[in-house]
Amino acid sequence: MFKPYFTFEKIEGYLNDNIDTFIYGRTTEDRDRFLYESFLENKSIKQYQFIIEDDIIYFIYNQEKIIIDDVIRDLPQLLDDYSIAGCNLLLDITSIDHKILFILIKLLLTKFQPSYLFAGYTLPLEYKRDDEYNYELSFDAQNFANFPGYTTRLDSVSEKIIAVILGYEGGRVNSLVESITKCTTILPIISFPGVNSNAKSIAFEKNIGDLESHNSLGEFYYSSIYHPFDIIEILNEINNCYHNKKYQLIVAPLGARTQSLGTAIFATYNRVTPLFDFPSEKELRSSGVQSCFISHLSHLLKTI
Amino acid sequence: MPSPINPFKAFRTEELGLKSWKYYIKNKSFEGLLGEHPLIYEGGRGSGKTMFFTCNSWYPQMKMFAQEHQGAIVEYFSKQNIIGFYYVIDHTFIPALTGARVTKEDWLKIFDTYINLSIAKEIALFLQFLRTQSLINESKIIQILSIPLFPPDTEVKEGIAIQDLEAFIAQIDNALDNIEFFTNNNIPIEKLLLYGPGRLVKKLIDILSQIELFENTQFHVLIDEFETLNAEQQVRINTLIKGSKYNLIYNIAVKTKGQKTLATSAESEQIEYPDDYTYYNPEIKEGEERNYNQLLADIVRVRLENHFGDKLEPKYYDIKYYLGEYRFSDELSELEKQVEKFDLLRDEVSRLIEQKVGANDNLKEMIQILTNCDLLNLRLHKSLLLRKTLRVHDIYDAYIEWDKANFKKPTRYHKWLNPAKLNIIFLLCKEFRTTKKYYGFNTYAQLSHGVIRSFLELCQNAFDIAIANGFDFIKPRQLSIDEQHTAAIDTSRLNIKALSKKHPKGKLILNFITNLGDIFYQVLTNPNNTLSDVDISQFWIRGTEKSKEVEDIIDLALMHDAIIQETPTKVDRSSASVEIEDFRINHIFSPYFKISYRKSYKIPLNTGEISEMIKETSKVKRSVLKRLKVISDDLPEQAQIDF
Repeated sequence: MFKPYFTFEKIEGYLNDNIDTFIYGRTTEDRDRFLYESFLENKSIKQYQFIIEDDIIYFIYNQEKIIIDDVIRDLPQLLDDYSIAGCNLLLDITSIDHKILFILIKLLLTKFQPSYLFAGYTLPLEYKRDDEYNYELSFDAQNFANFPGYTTRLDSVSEKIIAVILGYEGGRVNSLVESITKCTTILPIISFPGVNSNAKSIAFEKNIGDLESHNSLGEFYYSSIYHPFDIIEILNEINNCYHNKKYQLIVAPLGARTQSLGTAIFATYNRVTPLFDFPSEKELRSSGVQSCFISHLSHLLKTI
Repeated sequence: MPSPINPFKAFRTEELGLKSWKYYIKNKSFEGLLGEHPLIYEGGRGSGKTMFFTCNSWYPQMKMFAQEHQGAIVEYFSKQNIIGFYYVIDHTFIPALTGARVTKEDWLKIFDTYINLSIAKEIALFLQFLRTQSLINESKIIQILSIPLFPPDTEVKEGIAIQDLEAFIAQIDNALDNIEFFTNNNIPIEKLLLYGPGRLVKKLIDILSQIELFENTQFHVLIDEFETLNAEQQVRINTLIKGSKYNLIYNIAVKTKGQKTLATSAESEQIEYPDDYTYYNPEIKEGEERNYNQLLADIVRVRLENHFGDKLEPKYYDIKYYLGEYRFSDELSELEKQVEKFDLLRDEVSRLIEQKVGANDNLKEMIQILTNCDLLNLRLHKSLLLRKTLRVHDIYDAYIEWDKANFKKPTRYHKWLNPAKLNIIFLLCKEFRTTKKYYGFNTYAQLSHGVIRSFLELCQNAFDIAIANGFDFIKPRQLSIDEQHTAAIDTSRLNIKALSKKHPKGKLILNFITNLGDIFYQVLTNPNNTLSDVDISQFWIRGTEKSKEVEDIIDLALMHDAIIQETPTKVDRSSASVEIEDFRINHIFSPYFKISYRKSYKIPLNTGEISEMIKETSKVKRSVLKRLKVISDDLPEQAQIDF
């Protein structure tokens, strides 16, 4: 598979010269602000922001704050109003909330296609944690549910295959499996290298209990955390294995945003069920900036 | 790494899949639950709701019937007049039925249609099965096939003309796809053909009832995981419960406190017990422990039979063989080996006697008799001596009487000793710095206490550990005390850990339980414990007014199975009889907190204390313990509990 991704430093100049639209999310952490600040001085780039405050989604442009009541109805209208189709777009996925990221990707890939589409992901210097193995990045997770725009019912007949992209927090896999009937197979995916050199073993360590209790310590898949292409490839491989009415493939992107991006891209073009528990992310869960990677997604734009 | 031969690996009904009926035990208390009245089956996680509902749906019922009657499915209908259709709420999908693009009322209509179609599909699959058994022919159900599922003039993928059941099922799927499409796209609601609550299902059942085979059949819709619906959606199902009659009955399985409302769509009408429904809760009532233990043994026997066929010797199908029984004497004999501490306790009891009686002719003899006894008695004597109302003579006389009676008849001393035995073991373990062990069939049964899944989890972990230690069913052996105890601690810890991930407010409930467990431990192992009130694992709420916050905490703790509500006790307060709500901590948490798994004594908590207990760090523990006179001004040695 073609995997065009670059370090930010390598294509910073190109982006400054060529992109005309930048979409980003919250700006509370150093890494959230990295790309935003990099393009702040470039007045030829329009900057659009999506944030969620008290469960209300806002779209902000030129200090004008627009409430999005219903993402299915309002987001296409907004993308139309602001002429996103045909622009040269960089999307900072680091800080865009999952609820918006997924539907935005779907709309960008299929209905409001930019001429060029890039996605940036900034890794922090470190995550806040209690000790080497104890990350508490989110709180108050909800019950697992569909992403807006990707709603797929779980039918009562087929066996469920769950591809779960593991994060640094334990317990979520257990909640996921407990919420699904007829779950037969769990396929864990670990992304690395991540911020910490131990990332692989931390993800393993934090989830081993859940996986073991559901007999899922067999095959592991590994993907790069820097870009979404590995995940697309892995999901493709899994989907080919279980491409049969007997099975329903569920994907739970509990890891980094690049992995969520890969899941959203794959789910846009394939009948899979992405599920998520929509936890609230802690304020200031990381500090500093370690690196930033830009994925070029233009070759994935297709009209359905 | 545990070997894959552990027969306890799968314990959720969902994991057992289509074979779940092979693991189903017909519990006596289930008899007659499905009848003319709708059933509301309320219970905690793992209390058998899903097993009961799935195994009373048509497919497992026929499988069971065929097994009992050697393959005669055709006779099923002449002998059974109940057919169940199981439907579990698709709670990952249902939350998507929201958004500002249509009104709330329209979303509820879409919800009604979705439920209608989902149950209709189950009915269609049932008809398909009957056709394969040549029990019906398609011409008899032609009316069903002509029920419209789309608005007029809609282009439907498979074409409008439906000629057989397969096409009908495909059309149901298309109609469901249509709803799915509606949730993902901004399209007009007119694209959907909407059915009112239960209307499509009623149409199907009415047509079915005209078939001779089903003339006297009661059709039961069995809706599982009702708690995942929001209040408005529950109202729609409540309306179906209220309207259940004759041949179509709606039943629900719901987690404790998961029923958010009793309202129906008709204004001012509610579903009312017992007029509108039968209520069932699998909580073990006083005196039912033996039945529960037998149920557990039967469940394991069936599980082992399914796993090993008849390859094992008969005794190896009995879980009691592997777990054995907990005996006080085993733990006591271990404790008695600590001679120095035993002697120190003797000295302490001697001092207490001396202090209490002063100079007395009998002093020496009383010390001699009340200290030269078993460790269990000795520790009891210490607690009895701490009681202000008891004289040493009373204790001495009672002990002599008990000793002479040779434990054969009930005596006053017997009444002190018997209920306090387990509590004494907890006290001694703390004072002798020994780990209290959780093992034995009865202990495991009490730790699960009505939650069958907890018992199976305990067994799974115990066998995992034993298998890692070389255990094999080819040459079975009893599981060691340490294997069982480690499994109990692991299971307990995992259940505690899982609490924090529960939605909503799992973290707060964890804080509440952590504080509660810690308080219980302090009370249970208080060195000045007089053993008047033993085995504390319960609480009741003081004051008649519960704040909204406390009510929410209690309801959520009940819903997450962190606490369990006990049958209310009536307390006579200033001549007015008041009903008190009693709660106990889920006993599966006991090993984690090192507390008792028996329910006997309860402590009172104020509403203010409860709302403080949801905080991670709070001084409320100290004030509760002070109020209970467990501590005075300075908190003594704290229980070391790692979270």
